[in-house]
Amino acid sequence: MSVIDIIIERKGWFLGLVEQHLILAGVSILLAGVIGLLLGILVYEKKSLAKVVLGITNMLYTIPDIAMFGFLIPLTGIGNKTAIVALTIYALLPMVRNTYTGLDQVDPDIVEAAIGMGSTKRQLLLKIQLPLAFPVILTGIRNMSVMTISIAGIASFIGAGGLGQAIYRGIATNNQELMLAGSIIIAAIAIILDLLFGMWEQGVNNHRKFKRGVVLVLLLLVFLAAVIHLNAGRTGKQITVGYDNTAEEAVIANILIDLIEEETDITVEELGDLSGGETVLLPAALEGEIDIYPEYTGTAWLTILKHTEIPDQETLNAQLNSEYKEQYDLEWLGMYGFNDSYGLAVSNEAAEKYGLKTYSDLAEVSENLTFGAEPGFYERADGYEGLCKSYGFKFKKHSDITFSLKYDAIQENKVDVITVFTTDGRLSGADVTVLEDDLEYFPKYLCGNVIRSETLEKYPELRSVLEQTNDLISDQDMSMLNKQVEIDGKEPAAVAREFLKNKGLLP
Amino acid sequence: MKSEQAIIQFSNVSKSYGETLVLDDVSVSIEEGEFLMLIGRSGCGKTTFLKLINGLLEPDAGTVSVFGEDISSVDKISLRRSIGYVIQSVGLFPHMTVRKNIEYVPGLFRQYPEGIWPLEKIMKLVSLDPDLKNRYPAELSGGQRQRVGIARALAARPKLLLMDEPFGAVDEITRKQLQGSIKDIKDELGLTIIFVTHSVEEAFRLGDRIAIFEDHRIIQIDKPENILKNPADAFVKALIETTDTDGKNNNKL
Repeated sequence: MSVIDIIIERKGWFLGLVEQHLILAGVSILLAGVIGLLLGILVYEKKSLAKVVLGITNMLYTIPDIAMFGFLIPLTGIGNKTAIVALTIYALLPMVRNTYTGLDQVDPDIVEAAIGMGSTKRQLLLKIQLPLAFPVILTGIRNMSVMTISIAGIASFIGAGGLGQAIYRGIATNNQELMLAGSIIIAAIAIILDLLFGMWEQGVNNHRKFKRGVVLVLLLLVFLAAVIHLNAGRTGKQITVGYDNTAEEAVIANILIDLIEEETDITVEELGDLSGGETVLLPAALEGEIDIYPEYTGTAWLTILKHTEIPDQETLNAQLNSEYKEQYDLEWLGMYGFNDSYGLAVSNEAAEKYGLKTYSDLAEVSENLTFGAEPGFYERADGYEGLCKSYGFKFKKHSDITFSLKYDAIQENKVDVITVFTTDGRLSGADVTVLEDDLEYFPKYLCGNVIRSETLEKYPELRSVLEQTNDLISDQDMSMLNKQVEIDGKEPAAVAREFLKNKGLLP
Repeated sequence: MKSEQAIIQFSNVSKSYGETLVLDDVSVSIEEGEFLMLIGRSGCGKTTFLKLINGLLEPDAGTVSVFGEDISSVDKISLRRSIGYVIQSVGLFPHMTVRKNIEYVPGLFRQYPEGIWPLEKIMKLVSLDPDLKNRYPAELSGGQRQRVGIARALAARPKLLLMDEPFGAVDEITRKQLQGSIKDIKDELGLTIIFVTHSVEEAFRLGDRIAIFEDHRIIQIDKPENILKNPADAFVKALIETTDTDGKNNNKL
């Protein structure tokens, strides 16, 4: 699929991203404009401060953007707020410097005339100095605006909206075209903005044209904002689905979106590619930034609710729901059925030879087999040692293999048993058999929908839609869907749609 | 020479910039309605003298009184608004139209002051075509700019006008016209004008009195004819050498 096709096919999504991007950059530009202008005036009036303030802004300016976001996360968290703070900090330097330079360049004779005629300091600044410094200040605004539009693309890496999401998702799903589409649109906005400012700058010295130019640019911006806003497709009924930055969650979220949009008149926005998973999604749901998100029972039970004992699945599910309701006013509604957890796989050959179906079967023949897992598995409390103890495994040999080489190793008969993630895309079509954890050693990571109770009350029609997702997807299904995104490079949205069509849930 | 009607009074005023002495113990009084010309070499303190009057500078020693009050104790902002000020380079605001420039000083007051002339009247007073009111300074000739500068200084109807070499940068013909205009305006409005010039001819042509600056002092201040009759020293004598009572002199300082 070409870049242009992607943009056309997902027009609404891209326009939504453009809108978010412009809001993100726009707020930052506005903030930096105001703060930078005030700082610039301050250092002009108090020249002794100039060195210090310019030095500090200069230093901040040189911090690599990704590091800047990193520094800010502990202070302001993840999302738009941090992005705006970081972008504003970046944009400050050109603004302060140009305000200072612009004021400094005003003809001293004119300033003296204005003072000699009885202007107060404030009148001098507002009526004479700032207007005359404006061309230089405008150059500063131009530079920092174009820069902010570009840097805002990185903001998505910390969960902010905007076109960076397209790039980020492109990277996550190895989709070059998507990455390119996001980049090209960002570049296009930056270039258009630069041209507009360039026109404004040219007109700025001709005072008559200048006034007309201001009006024209403002009208254009308002018009553009209106068009984008309308096309971004918002109606009264609207919810937001959030999801983590994995192929699996992207597919699940798209399945959810398609089902809701098919069966209700609610418009669904997506806030996707949130890296950091549970640390981002739960707070986002609590703040109402997102309404629904996919979550795994294991994560919720162990990581979020911080339980250590694992009861049977039925008790766990019930308790999970009641604790989420009580603590967060969130509900679990609809369990997809697949379990994205650790599992053990053997080659088909070995499975056939020894008649292996369950871990207990494996235990009986383990002394004849070799075991391979990534190094971390041997370190975990619930890793290799516990596993061997529970089932009585006595493997002939165990070795370290990195994630990416595991499937090759078992294919080439270098090992007989490997650890896998039970919905890994590479399982689909691989020459291996996933065995059943019959003693339930590994905690289950069953995927379900978590929804804000408030949202459910507002849109009760969602209940039946979410219930449709119960047992919709098996481990094998999920593995196959992951494969289509991760290995075949298909769009999560397209994969989700095809799956639902095959299930007869979409026409 | 002290006078009941003195509008400006310098008493033993000295001023230095750092180590450089500019005015040394200057005492002088200027009467209301007077057209006083200041002449002297560059750096002899003429401009400093003007800036001491509207409080742009403060004396190191001595006092300056304007309108009968020691200006060290008056509000400088309102003092300046009551004094017209025309500077050497005109200093029109390039981002404002002629109208905005002229209305600048009245516009500085919290309430637009009463009794301000309509724009057209001010423009006619300085012989400017009212059609020029929407032009920007860059769209005017040199002479027109000087006239806008004068109109701007007069807009808030000051009784006192300070002019620092206002006609320095225009051609001879325009200068003659401007000189004629300012004399007429002064007579019509009964202004007091302190006027810095480098042209001896201009000084003799316009001044009711002429103050000659040399060595950071006023070495002679008197009516033009008295200066011609009794030059105070060799410097003054040399200065006015070829000047007759009509003020024809091509000497320039």
